[in-house]
Amino acid sequence: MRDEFVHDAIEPLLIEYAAGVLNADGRRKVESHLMDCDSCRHALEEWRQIADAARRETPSQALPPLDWQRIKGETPVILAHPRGVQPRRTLFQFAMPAAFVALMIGAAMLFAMMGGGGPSNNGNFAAAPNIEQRATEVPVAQPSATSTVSPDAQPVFPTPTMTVEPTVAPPDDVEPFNGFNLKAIPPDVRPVIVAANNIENGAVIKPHDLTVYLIFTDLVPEGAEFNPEDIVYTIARSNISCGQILTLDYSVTNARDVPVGQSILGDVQGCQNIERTYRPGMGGVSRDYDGRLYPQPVGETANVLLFTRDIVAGSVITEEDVALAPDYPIELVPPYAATDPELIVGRTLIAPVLSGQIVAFIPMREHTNVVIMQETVEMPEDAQVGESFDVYTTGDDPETGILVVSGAKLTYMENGGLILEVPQEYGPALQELASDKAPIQLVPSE
Amino acid sequence: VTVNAAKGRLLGNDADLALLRRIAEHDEAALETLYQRYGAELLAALTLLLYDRSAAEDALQVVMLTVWRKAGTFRGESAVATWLHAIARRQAMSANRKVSPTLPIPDENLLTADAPDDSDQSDHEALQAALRRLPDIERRAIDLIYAQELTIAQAAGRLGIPVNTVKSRLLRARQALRRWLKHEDIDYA
Repeated sequence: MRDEFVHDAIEPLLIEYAAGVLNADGRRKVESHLMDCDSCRHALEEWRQIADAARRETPSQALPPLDWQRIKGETPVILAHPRGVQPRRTLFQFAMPAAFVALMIGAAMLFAMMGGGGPSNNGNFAAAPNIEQRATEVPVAQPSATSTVSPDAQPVFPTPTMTVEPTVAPPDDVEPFNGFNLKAIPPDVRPVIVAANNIENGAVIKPHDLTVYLIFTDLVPEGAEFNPEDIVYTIARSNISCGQILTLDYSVTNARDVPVGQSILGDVQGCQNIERTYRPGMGGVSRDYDGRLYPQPVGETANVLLFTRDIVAGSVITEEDVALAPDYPIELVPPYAATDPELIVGRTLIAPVLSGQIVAFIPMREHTNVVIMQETVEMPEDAQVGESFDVYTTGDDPETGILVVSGAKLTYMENGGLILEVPQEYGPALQELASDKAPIQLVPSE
Repeated sequence: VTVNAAKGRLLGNDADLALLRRIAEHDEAALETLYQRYGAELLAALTLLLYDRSAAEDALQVVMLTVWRKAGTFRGESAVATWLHAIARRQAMSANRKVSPTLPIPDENLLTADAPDDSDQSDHEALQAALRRLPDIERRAIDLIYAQELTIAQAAGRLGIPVNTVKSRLLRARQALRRWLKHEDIDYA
């Protein structure tokens, strides 16, 4: 018996001894024990082999430098394109006359001198504008995943490339749990996480699906997870009943810390009126490391507003023009998406929209510059830098042309090129029109 | 293991908390320090979770971006290192489901590989291959202890699981790897 006890106590020390992280006291213990224990010498040799293999597997490589541009949000990260909307071609995929290239370079230098003008990405969901900010913004359309435009049909307005926040952490305003002071807990009890709802196999576990219980330490099952942040937004690997303690299923190979329920407690208060806000299995199916299939999570969803019909620019939005669309996949929701019809109704559109597009605000303070060759542009002869114009395309006159964006400011006009300052969201689309040499018409804004 | 990383471990959690506070005030040097301290082990953990070095490097940048933005929301309920690993884990899961609809599946031949032959090189390779097939939690524990040179308790903190669980998982891993371990008589004289 005593021998077994000694082995049990010495094995963790052997593990750390082989890693070279054991303290001096532990090292002495191990070394004196090894003197007269064959089996521990074998064990240590095995740990050393494992250590060597692990080090070979993870060769120490230089850390890449921190990407400060990205951390400070200076580089928009494009993560998702709505279904049916192709990624926009970039400017450089078009053949351009040398003069135009030179103009571009010149323009870039000009931007640098003006101290800005590049796209600044605010794409942070958490920083959705509050109501006061919204008062200065104008609703426009964003591309929609549910748009019913046929693939061949040319959209009325080139849908802007969508940029979304690169992190997928839950939004800031969702508090997974109230603060929990572990130090205040008596020594013989421990917090465990208990399901507050029935959670279906494959469902994403949401904060409101969980609650915290204090139970006696000796009742805590192995693998009981006590950090709610490790459980929320992971996938349930089995049907979990309300009242079960959540554990990480270590018995499942490569389960990736997927929680399963372990029945210990009875009913938990609040298990009635189960609210299902998740959609199990809707995210498709994936294969895990062992080749087994498991449902993909749907991920976060948000409630958005969609336009119910095609509306021309300049129209005042009425209640019938927008409809609430619940549970929209959050990757497809643009920053500044509108959720409250009251903030939209009565506002004036600055660009045409299609039925099914997501209603979103464009912050008017964020602008970008678009370079256009003068030969493709029809504009008043007395146009001056500093004036504002409505930009029309594919038509001979404003009556038949389509308004792309209104209130674009002319900031540069020389050497056969001109630069328009437009709301950031319209930059890529307008730039593409320009590099396609689509006829563009500028009409002074009122 | 860099000097910085070793120093970080000696300094412990208080120093990390101080760093987080500075990061919350957007102190760039503080983020760099935290990155030097934990970048290597986070990168290793992400590589294990994502099976791809470049995807892991990308995810690591997102983790640091998250730290930059969320440092102020850290509630101090766990060690800073545990928090960092939790962010990395969440990021890896979302990267997995975004980037690849299917994850790489190990070669069936490897799973049924014959016992290793005599040459040293293939012994090594067979053991490494066996290591790769361990359950994630075991493999990550082994990586944290042997490649990142953490103690069992520190590894438990990083994985967010109890110390005893780490121990039992390590023993189970050794059991699973035994077939690939050499069993010569070793002279300790």
